[in-house]
Amino acid sequence: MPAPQNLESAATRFRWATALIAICACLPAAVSVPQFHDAAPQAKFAYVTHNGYTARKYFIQPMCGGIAILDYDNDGKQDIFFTNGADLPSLKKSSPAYDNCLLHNRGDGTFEDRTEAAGLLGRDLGYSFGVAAGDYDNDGHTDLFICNAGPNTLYHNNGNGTFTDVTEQSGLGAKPPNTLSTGAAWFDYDNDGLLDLLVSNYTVWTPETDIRCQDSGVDKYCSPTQYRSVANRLYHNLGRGRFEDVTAKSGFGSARGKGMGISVADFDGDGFQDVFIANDTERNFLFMNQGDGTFKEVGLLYGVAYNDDGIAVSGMGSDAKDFNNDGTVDIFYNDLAEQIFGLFVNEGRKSFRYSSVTAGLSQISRRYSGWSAGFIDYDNDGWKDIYSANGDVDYLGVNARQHDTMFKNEGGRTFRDVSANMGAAFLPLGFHRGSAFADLNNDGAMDIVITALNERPRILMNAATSGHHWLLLDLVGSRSNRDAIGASVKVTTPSGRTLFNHVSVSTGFMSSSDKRVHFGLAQEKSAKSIEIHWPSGLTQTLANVRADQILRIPEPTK
Amino acid sequence: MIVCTLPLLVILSQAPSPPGALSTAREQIRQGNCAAAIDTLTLLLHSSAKSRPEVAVPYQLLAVCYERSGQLDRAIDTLRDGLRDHPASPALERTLGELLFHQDPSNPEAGQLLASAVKTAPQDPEARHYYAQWAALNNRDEICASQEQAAIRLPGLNNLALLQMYALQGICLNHLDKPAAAKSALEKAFAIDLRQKPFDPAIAYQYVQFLMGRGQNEEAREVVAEILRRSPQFGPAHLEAAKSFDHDRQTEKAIQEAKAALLGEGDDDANIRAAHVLLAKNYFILGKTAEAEAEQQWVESHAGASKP
Repeated sequence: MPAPQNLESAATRFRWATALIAICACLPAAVSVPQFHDAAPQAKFAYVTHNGYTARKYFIQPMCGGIAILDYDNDGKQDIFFTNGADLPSLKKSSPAYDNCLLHNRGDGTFEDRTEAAGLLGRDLGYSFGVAAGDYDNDGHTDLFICNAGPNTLYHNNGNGTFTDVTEQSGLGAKPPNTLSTGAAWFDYDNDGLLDLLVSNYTVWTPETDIRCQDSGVDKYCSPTQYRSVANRLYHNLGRGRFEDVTAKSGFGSARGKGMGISVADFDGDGFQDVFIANDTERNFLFMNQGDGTFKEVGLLYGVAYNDDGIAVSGMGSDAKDFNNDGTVDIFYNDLAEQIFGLFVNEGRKSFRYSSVTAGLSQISRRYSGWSAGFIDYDNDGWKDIYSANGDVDYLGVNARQHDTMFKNEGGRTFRDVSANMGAAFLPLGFHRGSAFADLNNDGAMDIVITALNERPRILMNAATSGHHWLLLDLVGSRSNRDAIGASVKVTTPSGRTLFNHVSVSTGFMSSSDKRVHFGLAQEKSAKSIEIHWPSGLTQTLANVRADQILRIPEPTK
Repeated sequence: MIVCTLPLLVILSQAPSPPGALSTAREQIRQGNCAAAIDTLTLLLHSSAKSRPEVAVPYQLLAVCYERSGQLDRAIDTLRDGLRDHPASPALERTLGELLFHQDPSNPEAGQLLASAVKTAPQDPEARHYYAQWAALNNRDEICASQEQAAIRLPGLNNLALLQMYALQGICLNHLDKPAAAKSALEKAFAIDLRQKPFDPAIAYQYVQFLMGRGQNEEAREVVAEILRRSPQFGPAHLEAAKSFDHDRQTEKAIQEAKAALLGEGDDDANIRAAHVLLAKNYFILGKTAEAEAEQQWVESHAGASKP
């Protein structure tokens, strides 16, 4: 067993807080502690998610505000990166208001704008959408890939607090002209220890070809069906900072859609990472990795292409996690109001069962238009809940501005809307878009970062009021990719409860989350065993690990 | 969504007693001779009788005749002429609202006309029901539910009218996220439907969809079984049965019911597509790759239904 590196155990402080809450609860005038409070107002930064909105509505404006969580300076605290829009129709970041933004986590609940010092203002990038954080060259420093309306961008982390644009030499800037790239995911599809890159593409678009749609003389955003579908792109990491576009030969080129959220996981348990892509108004894709460098699109055959009525919805953000702790990875996507968020239960790694209705999502999600989303065990009870960043596409209609939602997982079977209990900072109405999860203060409770169109982002710190125990596993690959993306983890508690999770940073829409693997342990104070299946094929088992710590686990050399 | 029609023929028996030409026209319509009625009514409207207060009725009858003979534009023009002469006529407003609604369910003028007709003639269940339908199809579920509620309370409704009103009220209440009230209304509709001859499986299917959407699967299955007992060829109920078997991992039975759905009656394009989607998945589970891929090809070659 490797020596646990306890980066910052907040257990003592946490127990005090819990005790205090318990005492307060007995007092007649007790004030309940909100689940989340917003740390953004205490941080000095100028970033606002500017989508370039003017009276003229351009098709791309609703998709703005990507987020990446990464520890860019390896100080043990997760930092935050935001992408931004640009002026329209010029597609230029014509003023500092359109700068991207890097917030350094100072560890005391405050954040400091380090964008310019890091070289990440991105003024030459144009209109940016999603972002993916990953250490593509295994040098121990997390790099950034940014999706743009124009050429995409790869920033190499120099390891000294700065980044360098290496797009040209990497080969990642190449894509069909005017392809709108919305999101990206780092993953190692051939288990060669190097992170490859998948980019979800939406359509072909320029300001000049933008279709103007109106209703009674008022501009409105056009239906996606008016734009043509395109293929997503897969880039194989050749090493030494070079990538090869393998879209055609991998099989990704044969499926055309309007790519939004990307979720990577080993759905069939064959040791190779598969890919789910939520598509807007078209069938969703499930690319099963054939283990030979190719993928087969089997969304329809596996039962995830459509909803239960055989209808393609406006798939937006997605996540793939084992929400019912049965050892297989399930799929969630959100969509627009009246469409019902989609939940697909993995059945024996051979098919998926549409479960939105039986899980109760049909009632509680119907009113919401979701964008980024994901599974998050916000109360550390060992059941992954569902968060969704909400807000309608357009500014029209009475239900256009919406609050985010938290659906609590009730024993891996059903979900209950607990949004109202999450605190005032969780509930403002707006057009929320990107979201990413991280333990920003290393207290074992997952926090949430959210962007909203033409507003400052929120940094929602989790008050960790449940008193439940937890583990945060920071896996470091050696034979596997250094980020350990694709490693799966099974935790068995002393009571015999089994919990499952895996390393995956691509969550929701346009966003990239904390790569550390989080487990809520409820009342249990330790893990009887932790079983890790590394992408290299190695299996590692740790025994009797105490709870409430951040455990750094290097991959064994043998 | 159900769009149903209450009998327009009610106007044929309306008081006051008409003059001779009007009586003739009514009789011609009763005999199905709309061409003759059009001539009679056109002549009447060009006569001096135009100034009589009850003369809104000829416009209405003429419009009905035009509509029945496929001349929708002329029907609409006739009603507009009538409203010019009799701007306060709720019957003309209602009829024009109905026609515009059928022509384009999202037409805002149709909604305005029906709202006005309801305001002027609050005791007219037909106007309320049409206004409710327009509201339902235009995301005004509050209006829909309240109009049907008011209509149901009016005297003299037959079972067919009540069936349609309760069903639509239930659908709108469900959209308003009032499940208890919605269920109550749909239950009433279903109860009436069970007494009706002939039984209307489409109305009962609305109840199934509500129950499924609310996760009341067992109850839904019972209603599906009842529908299939009374209407064994009703495709949508077979599809629901197929979905239930699919959820229960009874793959063979799911395939059997999906096939029955495709052979049945009453399926719309979306249901047919859903049946093929379900077949593809279940054949694949059984390892019947060729059948699965054939179903997949069918789905891919038929333009996908989507909710933009």
